[in-house]
Amino acid sequence: MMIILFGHSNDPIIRGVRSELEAQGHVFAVVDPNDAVFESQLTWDVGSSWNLQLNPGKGKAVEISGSVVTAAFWRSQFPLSPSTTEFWSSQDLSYMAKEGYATLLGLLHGSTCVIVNEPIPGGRSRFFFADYTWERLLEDHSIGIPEMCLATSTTGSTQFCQEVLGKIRILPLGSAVSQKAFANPMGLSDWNYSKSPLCLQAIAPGEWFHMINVGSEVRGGPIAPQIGYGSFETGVEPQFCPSPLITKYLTLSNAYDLEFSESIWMQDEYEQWFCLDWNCVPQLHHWGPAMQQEVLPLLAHLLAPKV
Amino acid sequence: MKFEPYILLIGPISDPMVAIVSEKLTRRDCTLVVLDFQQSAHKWPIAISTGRRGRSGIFRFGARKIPLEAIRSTYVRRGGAIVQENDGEYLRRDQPHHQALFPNLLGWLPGLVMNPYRAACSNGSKPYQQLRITQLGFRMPKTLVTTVPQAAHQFYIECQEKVIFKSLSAERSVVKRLTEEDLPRLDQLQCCPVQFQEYIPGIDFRVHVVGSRVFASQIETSSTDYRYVEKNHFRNIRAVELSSELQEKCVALTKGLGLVLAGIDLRRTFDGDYVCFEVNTSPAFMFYESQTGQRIGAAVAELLFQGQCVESGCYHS
Repeated sequence: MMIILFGHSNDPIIRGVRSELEAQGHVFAVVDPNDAVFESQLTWDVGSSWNLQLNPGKGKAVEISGSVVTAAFWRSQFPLSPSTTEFWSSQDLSYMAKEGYATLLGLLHGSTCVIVNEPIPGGRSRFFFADYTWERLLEDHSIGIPEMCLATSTTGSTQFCQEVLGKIRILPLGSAVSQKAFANPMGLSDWNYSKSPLCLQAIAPGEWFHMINVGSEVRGGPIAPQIGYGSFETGVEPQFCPSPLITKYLTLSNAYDLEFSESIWMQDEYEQWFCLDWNCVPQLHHWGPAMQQEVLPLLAHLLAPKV
Repeated sequence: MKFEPYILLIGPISDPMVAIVSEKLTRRDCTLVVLDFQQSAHKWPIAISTGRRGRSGIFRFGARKIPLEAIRSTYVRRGGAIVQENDGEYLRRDQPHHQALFPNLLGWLPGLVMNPYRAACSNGSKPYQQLRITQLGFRMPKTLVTTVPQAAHQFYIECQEKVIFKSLSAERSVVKRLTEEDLPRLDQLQCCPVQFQEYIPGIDFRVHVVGSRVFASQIETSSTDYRYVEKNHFRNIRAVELSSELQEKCVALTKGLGLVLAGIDLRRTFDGDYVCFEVNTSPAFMFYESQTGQRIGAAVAELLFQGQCVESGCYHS
């Protein structure tokens, strides 16, 4: 029985889960997705079995058969980066990255083991909950979303700010990874829109929470409102969270097949809950030390074989 | 308040599919908006905003303001072609920021989206899509993905030397037969995985599904890949009527993949079985229309105008 952690060995979450799994005596391998498709011996009989030999021809060769893998944790992002050599043109590298992506997406989808945060075609969007697809679900579970604007120019951003009430939260569309991008959070005209479109949210006063789920286990706590530039870097520590919030959070994370994620929520003065933000690739440094201590064992437990 | 329905066409008007759909829709009682995202993202100022309660909002494109409720449907032809540039230097098209824009944009649009973003991405991984296709009732060819030359050679022997190879991703590649002459090149597999499949002899069919309507073309060719006919080879394409059972299966496959419009590649084996190779999620149907006279573009336009599939219930909601 083996657990695979797909990610970089320096990733703090990978390091933390690795320590937990080691302490519990589980067999596991940390596999860099780039190595899995560009530096290994992979044989995949599609729809049946697969075998992966890492570090072939080197001292520490590791062989993994798909039949012994009980769980896999996807902790990486596309596009992949094939190692650059003088032999490959940029077109070659781009092609290889796509082929590697196609291989891993299919391999994980075809695996029968538990997969935590399985990658999906096209990737996961930060504001998926605002899609029309989820409208019925949000209504049924009384989950609100704020007034939001997706803008590719200063004109769009400023028009939105002029038309809505409340304070504005500004987020680069592409990434939930914290970037100290705004010298002046309200300096919309300073933003380099060629780098990323912006998402703006009109926020009413209320109480804010930062939530984390590991399977059906939920941890979270109140945080300071993130007006201006918003990120997940809140230092949240585990505290009491209202049960309606936990239910709503799990409803959305289950619907989106996210076993491990973090999210920002708000309850306004009318006791309406709003989902504001979602990160499908949670980061350890976003949380306080006690939260880190709680989440990593939960993650290891989720991946561990169930007897 | 009553709105005039808007239909968004995302793609260059020079694209034959966008052109025919646009032409058909100009005769209908709706307003067409063609969005050609060939320029970098920040040069086509759009903003889409959603209301706090209920799904009201505005889609802004340049000086135009379109109420979201008035958008009946969207046809996406060039979803993957949004360009972004950074200080004059073009970013890779699969750059994370770039990827973030389109799924949100399409996800926030109401009405029928042809095709929804995530479903349209399913052929970004052919093995992923094939596994889904199998779940939806079609047989897939025996397939090997490998970086190991010996494994590919073994597969070649197991399949009685009848093997093709093609790309794993949506990157366009010419399907080729693996031959004895190729075997020394198998060493190059170690750099990047390659997909090999048993060669299945038979007759090709391209089936276009538009909502619940089915347009089938039969292709007879002496080439391995009918899209690329070599010199001294032939290709004949003609419209055919599939059995109602197979039509239903194709509609179910399309719906099962979350698509509204699909180009399904089938091959009928000599024992009458149908094997599905892949489903094109942004099919270039005009090529088949020009060969067969099937009115696929008109069907696409009609479905966009209706804004929902009456029979199959494929309304994007």
